[in-house]
Amino acid sequence: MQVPLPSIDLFAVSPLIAMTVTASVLLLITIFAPRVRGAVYPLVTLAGLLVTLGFVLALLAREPVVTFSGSWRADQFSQYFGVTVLLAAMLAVLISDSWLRLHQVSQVEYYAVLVCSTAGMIVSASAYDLMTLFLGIELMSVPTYVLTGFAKHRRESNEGAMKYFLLGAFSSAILLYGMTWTYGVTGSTRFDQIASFAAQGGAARPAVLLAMLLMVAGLGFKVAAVPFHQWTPDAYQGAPTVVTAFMSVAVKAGAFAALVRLLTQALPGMLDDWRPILIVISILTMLIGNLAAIAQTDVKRMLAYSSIGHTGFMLVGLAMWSRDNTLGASSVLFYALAYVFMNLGAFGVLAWMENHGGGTTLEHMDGLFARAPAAGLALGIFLLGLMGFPLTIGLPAKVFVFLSAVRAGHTWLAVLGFLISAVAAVYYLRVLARLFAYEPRYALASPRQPLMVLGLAICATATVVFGLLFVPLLDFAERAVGS
Amino acid sequence: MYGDNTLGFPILSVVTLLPAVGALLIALIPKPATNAVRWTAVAVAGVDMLLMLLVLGSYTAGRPGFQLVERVEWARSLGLQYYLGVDGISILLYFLTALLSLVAVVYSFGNVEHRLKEYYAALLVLETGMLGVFVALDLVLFYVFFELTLIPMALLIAVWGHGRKMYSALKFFLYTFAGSLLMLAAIVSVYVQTSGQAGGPTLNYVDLVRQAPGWSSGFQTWMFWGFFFAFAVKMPLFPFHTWLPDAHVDAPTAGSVILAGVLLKMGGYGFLRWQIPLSPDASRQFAAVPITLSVIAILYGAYITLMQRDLKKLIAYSSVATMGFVVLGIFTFTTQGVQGALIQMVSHGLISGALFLGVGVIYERLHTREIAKLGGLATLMGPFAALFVILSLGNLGLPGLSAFVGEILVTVGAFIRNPLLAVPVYFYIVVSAAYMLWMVARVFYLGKPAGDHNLPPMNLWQETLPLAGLALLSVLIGVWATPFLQTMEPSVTGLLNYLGVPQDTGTAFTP
Repeated sequence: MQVPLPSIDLFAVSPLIAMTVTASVLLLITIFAPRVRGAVYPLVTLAGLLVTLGFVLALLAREPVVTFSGSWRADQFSQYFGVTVLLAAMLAVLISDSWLRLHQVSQVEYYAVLVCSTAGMIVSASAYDLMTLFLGIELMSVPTYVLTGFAKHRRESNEGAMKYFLLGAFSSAILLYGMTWTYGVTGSTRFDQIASFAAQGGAARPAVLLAMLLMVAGLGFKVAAVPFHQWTPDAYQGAPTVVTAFMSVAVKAGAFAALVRLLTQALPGMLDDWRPILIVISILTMLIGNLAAIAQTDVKRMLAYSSIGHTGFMLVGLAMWSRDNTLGASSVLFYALAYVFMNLGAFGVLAWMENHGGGTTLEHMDGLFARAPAAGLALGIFLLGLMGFPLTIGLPAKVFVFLSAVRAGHTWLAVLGFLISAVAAVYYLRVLARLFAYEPRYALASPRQPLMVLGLAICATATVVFGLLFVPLLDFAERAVGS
Repeated sequence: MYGDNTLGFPILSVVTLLPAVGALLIALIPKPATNAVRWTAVAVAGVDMLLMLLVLGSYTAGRPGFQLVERVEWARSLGLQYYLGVDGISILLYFLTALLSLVAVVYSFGNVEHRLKEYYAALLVLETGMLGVFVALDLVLFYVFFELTLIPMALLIAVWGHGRKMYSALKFFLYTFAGSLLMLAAIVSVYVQTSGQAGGPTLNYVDLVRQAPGWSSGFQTWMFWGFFFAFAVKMPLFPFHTWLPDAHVDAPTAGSVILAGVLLKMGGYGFLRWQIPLSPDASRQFAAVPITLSVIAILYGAYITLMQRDLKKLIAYSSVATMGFVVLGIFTFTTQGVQGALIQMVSHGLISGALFLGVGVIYERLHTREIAKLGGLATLMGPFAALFVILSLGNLGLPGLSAFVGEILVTVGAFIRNPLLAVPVYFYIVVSAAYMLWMVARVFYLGKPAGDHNLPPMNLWQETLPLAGLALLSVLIGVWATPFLQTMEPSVTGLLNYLGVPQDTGTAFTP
């Protein structure tokens, strides 16, 4: 008797395998060569991430594949997010190195956990089945709880980790509950089967609607959308700044990958139900994130609120998606990648200052440009990018999102979004003014941190260069959505 | 159709981008070499001015359409182009920008010590932004240049200004940024609107002008208001003018010269180049709104100028009234009105730029700008007083100087449109004479100079020559306006014909 084996395409999961191997190698190094020090860990991690990126790029050339009994889909969409989160992880490794060494924090666990989280993001971007999606989300989230508490002697770090963990676990439960409902009603966990069931409508519609609401709420926690955002400021502020830099861009990208895939591939038939919900959530998120950011005096916390605001902008794009308006989804993809460079860079400069003995409050920004021109200029570029200023990647990112709104016939939403961007300019400008126009107030030490400088330079260059040459990126995002 | 380039050389790109390259050069010069920094800045601005003369020389006046055009596909799939060109509406403002930038750079030579490299870099980047605004013929390119002027100007105010400089800089930035984000939303709408039509999405001026008359009235209304606020803030039109006095008073002298001389003109130019062509029907329909606001600006601006005790604030507020004239002229939709508005913009650039320079000269020597503390300056600085008084008279519209030509043309245009509009104009003429003459009398002739009587003499290169040069140009336009009017006439009549406003081109006013 022959047992039919499900079709398995190992090449399709090669990025995941590479990540797992990388994490294992990192852990094995400590077992077999416990005295290894120096740059080994970051270099091994970077090498592993580069190999993974190689697999991801190789997969880009392939036709979309659904494998592992329909639970895994390797297509341009997964690879787009693969590239995004791998870039974020590599940049995070570059900027983390000096922090770990200055604080004499155990390097190997940090990098292994970081790699696991990145693997989780790749899983959530490739998931074509609710169970795989849940695994991906958890694999992405649990390591970030650990990373948040990584400064284990700092009270805020522990507090942030605890809050993040409790609320994160709670949101995972909600997500899982929604998935249970979906399975109970549709009889399947596969996206394509859910889609064909939901398209029929009928008596089960209210139940699917409830399931959809629960899943949107669960993922809403992960992307930090209002009203599920309360954990964000504390977790972002409490976490070591280098972790915040990684978490704020990569977790957002991973969670948005899941959200976009779920809504546009499993529930496209419910568009008329989820669009108004997302519109309301996006408006609230834009407003509350950006207004609360104005009141902050700590730049790290301000950027945490601004990150909520950016989730709002991205949600506008997703809410505008339809089969005729795929720009809605591709603008979200573009934004996610643009956000990696701008926000990781901005938090990175804050981490750079902390390593130099500076702080992250507004006063510590005074005269940074005069004291350390390169750092001041870099932070200036990142803030202008986040503000959506021309010649940075932040402008096309915002414009594409709102362009999709105009295309969908919601010009009012685009106008509202641009006006909220003007409000957001207030708090970015306050920091910018201090950077360039004030006299330096605090002294900065100068430890050498070449890897971090390299990472920040890459972010700054990308923010400006892609601000001019954004077309290839947009094409990539459009292909990803079209696949 | 898209215009031609008789020179066969991308002169506009060179002129526009040269200052930015200069700014990069300056950033590379080591900090202690202060004189190298100064001379590089002067050389860059000077060469740019010389190239600008080449632009003027290659420009054929009296020909409609765009000249010296450069057009390159920049992002084909998105329909974006790198499209530069000049026509009768932009050429004079383009020239004015290079001229006033040179004046600002030269004036700063001996007056700025603090963070010198950054100062000149900001000034030169600002010049690139302003030049680009006047030649960009693709909406996205225009938007980029329009925004590019914001940061250096805000920095000039925030770092090298006086008083509540941080507040003024942020106010300036936020007002303008809010207006231009709304414009960005409108640009996005244009893009979506044109992507449905044959030829795909386009943001290029020539294509848009062909399509715009076919747009629905609802969409045109949105275009009108979407673009209106960005330019009204920049202008600044009442009630969006409140950033102007703060910014002007707290800006360093060179910053004020640029701000009054060029930045405000970007608003008037924006109305003519983008807002009106993109909403032809809506512009005629809603013209009463800007006209009403401009009348309020003229009356309110003139009245409030009368009250000022600070010399710089007085000139700043007088700009509100003058720019009200420009808006009035533009929205009369008559050849005279629009030509008058253009002349008025150039003239205001020359005169108020020079007046702010003069205020700087006084402030450098007496360290006060309060009119009450000045007095009898004519006895101390005779030649300077003469120049300043001539310019002040020019500002109030004395025949023989450029402002007179602009004002009389705008008045004629307003009268043609509606005779009642002449009433605020006459009021303005009386009040502007009052505040300028009163100011001149109090500062230069009445009273006795207080304090130190041995003022340093005028510096020939940095002070006398720029002031005299600007005054001379103003006189030139004042007595011989015909070539200037002829340069702009084809473009202006082209615009008005496009709007469908019947024009009797034969009677275009030529003094």
